[in-house]
Amino acid sequence: MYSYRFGIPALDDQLGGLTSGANVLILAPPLSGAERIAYNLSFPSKGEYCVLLSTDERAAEAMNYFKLNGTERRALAIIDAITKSDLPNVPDTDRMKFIASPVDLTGISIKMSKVFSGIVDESLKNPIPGIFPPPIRFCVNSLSTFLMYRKLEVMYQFLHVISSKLKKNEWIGFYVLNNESFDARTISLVKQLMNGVVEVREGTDSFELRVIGLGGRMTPWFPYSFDPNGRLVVEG
Amino acid sequence: MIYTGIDALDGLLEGGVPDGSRVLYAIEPEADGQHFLITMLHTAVVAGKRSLVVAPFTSKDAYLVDVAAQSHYHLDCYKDLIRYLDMHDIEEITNAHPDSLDCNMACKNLIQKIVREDHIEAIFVYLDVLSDHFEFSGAVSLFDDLESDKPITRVFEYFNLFGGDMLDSLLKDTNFDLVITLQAGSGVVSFFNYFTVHTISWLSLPARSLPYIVSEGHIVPYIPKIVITGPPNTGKSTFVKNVSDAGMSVDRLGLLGTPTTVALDIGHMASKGFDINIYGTPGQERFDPIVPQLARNAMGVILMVDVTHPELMPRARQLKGIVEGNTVVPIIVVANKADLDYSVTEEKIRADLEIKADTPIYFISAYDRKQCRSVIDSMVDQITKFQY
Repeated sequence: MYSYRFGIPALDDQLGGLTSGANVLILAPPLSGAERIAYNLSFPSKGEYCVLLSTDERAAEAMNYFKLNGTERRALAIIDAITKSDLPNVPDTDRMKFIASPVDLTGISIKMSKVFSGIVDESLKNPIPGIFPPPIRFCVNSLSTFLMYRKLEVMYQFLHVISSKLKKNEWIGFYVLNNESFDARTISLVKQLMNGVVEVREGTDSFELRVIGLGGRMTPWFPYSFDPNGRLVVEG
Repeated sequence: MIYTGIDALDGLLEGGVPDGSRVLYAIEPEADGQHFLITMLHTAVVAGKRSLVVAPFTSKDAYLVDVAAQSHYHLDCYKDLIRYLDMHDIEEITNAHPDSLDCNMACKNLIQKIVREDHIEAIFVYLDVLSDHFEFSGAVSLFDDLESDKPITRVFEYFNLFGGDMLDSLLKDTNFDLVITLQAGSGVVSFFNYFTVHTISWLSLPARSLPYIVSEGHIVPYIPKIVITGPPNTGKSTFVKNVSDAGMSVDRLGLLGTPTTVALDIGHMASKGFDINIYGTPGQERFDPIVPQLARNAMGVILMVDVTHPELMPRARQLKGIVEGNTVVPIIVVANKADLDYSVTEEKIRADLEIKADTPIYFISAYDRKQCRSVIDSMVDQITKFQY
């Protein structure tokens, strides 16, 4: 079984990487850079791909962030639910798909499926053999946006469909949720679909994170910060 | 009548959808099914029907661009025929009426007003956001009992995340004249889509799933495999070659001086709006081990017999057993070489092959392309319309 690395020494030391098929919730207060943490965990290593479903940041901005941190262009695909509301003419490409609004789950589902099958097709044609299906890190940069617009039951089911697909194909998923905007029931429902949670809190000097549930363990709180390129630095 | 715009589907529905019907396209996750409603909208406006599109998930401009990009239909050419209610219109109403009942009323009034002013004959609705607000049945009933001098056809698209059971329970409260479900067969990725006519009020059709491909934004239903088998030298390869638009045969020269198939014949054709692949098996006994592989997942079987050679009937019976295996698929018997003097009668074929009374038997000559095509047309009907 393929094992994904966090790419962050402190976490890899503690947990020895991520098992494939894991779905991880990043539960964070506002302004803590939660989507940056999610991106950092989603950076594809060599031979991996990242599929980002962006509901609160334009594809161009997210792509810049990944590029700055060394992600190859073909290794990143973005489904963007923001840009099209202002620029209805923006065309889809192999790796960039645009949805008119985050409420359009049908469109998101179809375009996600196209992106995934595109990546799998490409890896079949790739002259350098690798793992099949190719390892993919999937990331939703804000579930909060979805939950604001659609009914909880619908979103729960939608996430269920996505998370089981990831599990089946041994891919991994990261989902960001703002823990202050939603009630306990919403958060606990979403948690049911997850294998692990990255919790973020405000520490004395900086924000701190810990990982719960992956490998049945709980790490201590680690203070973290971002370097000038936006790469996550976890102390400890 | 409004056509669905998909030839094969219109054929199944015996023309199209009668005016005033209520139609539901239920899309399951990953199925590339949005073209169905869009194609129908396009055929409606091309036929000059004034239409209302309710798309609360998008803005009108983005919708038009999406339709043009995905389905290659330029709806902006039909400006005068189409009215839109997009996300801004719906948001305006929901913001102005925080109470769900008031909001429902306001929506209903607006729709009625548009229908009256614009003489709308067809309404196309994306249900998802509306069903979040008003539940499924409430959202559908917004479009009921509209006052109009003409019957109004209502077509809905719903993203069915919850699967077949949920759909059945939704349909218990809300009646539709036509329900088509769109699903994706998925392995690692979804590699094909299929549609099923789930409910139909004006015809009796078996609920059968048919695969389709989306090419250049158009939906082409297809039958991935029809198998043709029969004893050696009955004319299977000639048949495949004659019905196909394109195809090939893997054969070598046999002892009799005529070619004999050693692996398979394969042909590709279009019939009744379907794209069809046809596979011919070898007839010689030494190839029997590969016949079940060729026949696997076939949607229909054509059994070919030679009416000038009654002694080959036991072999035909044996091959029928091999291709049928444990699955139930429609069978058609083709009695080839009927243009020659022959001794095998229909009764003998039925008795020797142990086939049912309603299984069609066609006496043809495989050299005659027209006769071969009509066999394929009949096969398509067997696959799509009849209980088997």
